[in-house]
Amino acid sequence: MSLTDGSFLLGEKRSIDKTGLYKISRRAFFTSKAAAVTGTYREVGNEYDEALFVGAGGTGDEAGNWICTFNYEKVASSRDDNPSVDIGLVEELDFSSIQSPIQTSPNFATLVSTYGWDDATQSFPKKNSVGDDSPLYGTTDFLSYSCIYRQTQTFSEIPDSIFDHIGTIDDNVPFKKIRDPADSDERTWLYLAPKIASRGNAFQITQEWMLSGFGTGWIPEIYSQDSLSVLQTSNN
Amino acid sequence: MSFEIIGGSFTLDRTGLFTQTDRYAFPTSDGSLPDEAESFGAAYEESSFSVDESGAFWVGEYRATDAQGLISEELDFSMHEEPIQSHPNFLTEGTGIAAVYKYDSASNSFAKTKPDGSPNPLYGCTSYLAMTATFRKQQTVGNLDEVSGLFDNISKIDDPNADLIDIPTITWRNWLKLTPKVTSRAGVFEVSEAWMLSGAGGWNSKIYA
Repeated sequence: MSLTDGSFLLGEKRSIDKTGLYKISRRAFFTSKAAAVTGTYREVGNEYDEALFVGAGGTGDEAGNWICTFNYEKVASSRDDNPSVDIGLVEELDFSSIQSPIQTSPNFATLVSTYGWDDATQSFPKKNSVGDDSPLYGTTDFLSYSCIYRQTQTFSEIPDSIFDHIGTIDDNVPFKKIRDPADSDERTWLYLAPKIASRGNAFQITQEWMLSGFGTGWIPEIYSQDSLSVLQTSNN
Repeated sequence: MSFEIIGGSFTLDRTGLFTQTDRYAFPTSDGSLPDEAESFGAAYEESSFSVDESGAFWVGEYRATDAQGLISEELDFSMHEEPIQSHPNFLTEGTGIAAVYKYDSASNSFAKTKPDGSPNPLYGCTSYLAMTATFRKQQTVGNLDEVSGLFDNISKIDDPNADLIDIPTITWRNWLKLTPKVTSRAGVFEVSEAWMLSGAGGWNSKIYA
């Protein structure tokens, strides 16, 4: 940081968030607005303790005293003081209810054998097979649920593999502390596109996987890399 | 002109936009806003005035901007449903979706059972889950010429002009340049550029080349 005559450092604040993003804020005193602005402009592109300058702010009073805050960001690493084992990864399982066509229910065959099904109108008949009123008459959907598994981390570099297999079935979802809720059934996970944001000289990356419904898992003919890559961009 | 500097503030955000607010006090003899206070603001982007409780001074706040070369980038994704017939593997002979899951072209639907007689998991299915991603780059510049190719290849297939995020080539997806957003802020321009990732198979070159 460029401190001109009469300027001096007031203090420093550091924080590491749960995704591993390390933030440093340095406060400095300047004797004029011109010195404060010059000091800020000179900091663009500079690093402090390996963290890249990402912005600044300052306030001045009527006496011409300016107090400025300079912000820097980097990834927390094992070289930092006492990073806890929890730093650097946030895992979430996010469930939500969704309405799906009744024909896609894994129990549809059983429903049809019990309540009948009119192929022409694609609906359940008024009466079931023994002539009683059908409780499913008029039903077109059923309540299913979806689940997103989410990992948020801060990296110094974007891993090469992060763009591989976007939109395809992933058989090796990297669960850490959370157990795979589908590890004992046939459901599978679909790797969604990652979210990446630049943060100083680091990158905050969120990766998400979506759980299939009960039944057969995601259909390989639709969601495998071989199926999705049938058409190369050079041929489209 | 009679005035007194009474402080101010500034911020430099991560897109390189520098915003400063200068505060001045203008004495007033009859409570009205001095002409000097208004004309003084001509060099700034915005100005606002308020009279203090004593009625002796008007306080003018003047905002100005500058550009300082910082860039912010992000890649964000979204999901949407596409008709199942538009899947690149739908019509593949023998192993495609239509063949394996017995698609009836007459009724435009999948049969209740697969060719081997087992229940068809795609019975009733009309769409599939497609996903895309949008790459955004935001920066503040003093001159639009500083942004390389800003108005080139809009709505055409184009690789993102990324500075920070290293985006690899995916052979079965490509990028479409979306319309940029340019906002003038006094002496500077806030520029936001965006590219959208295609679905499987890429953007159709007959439409977007």
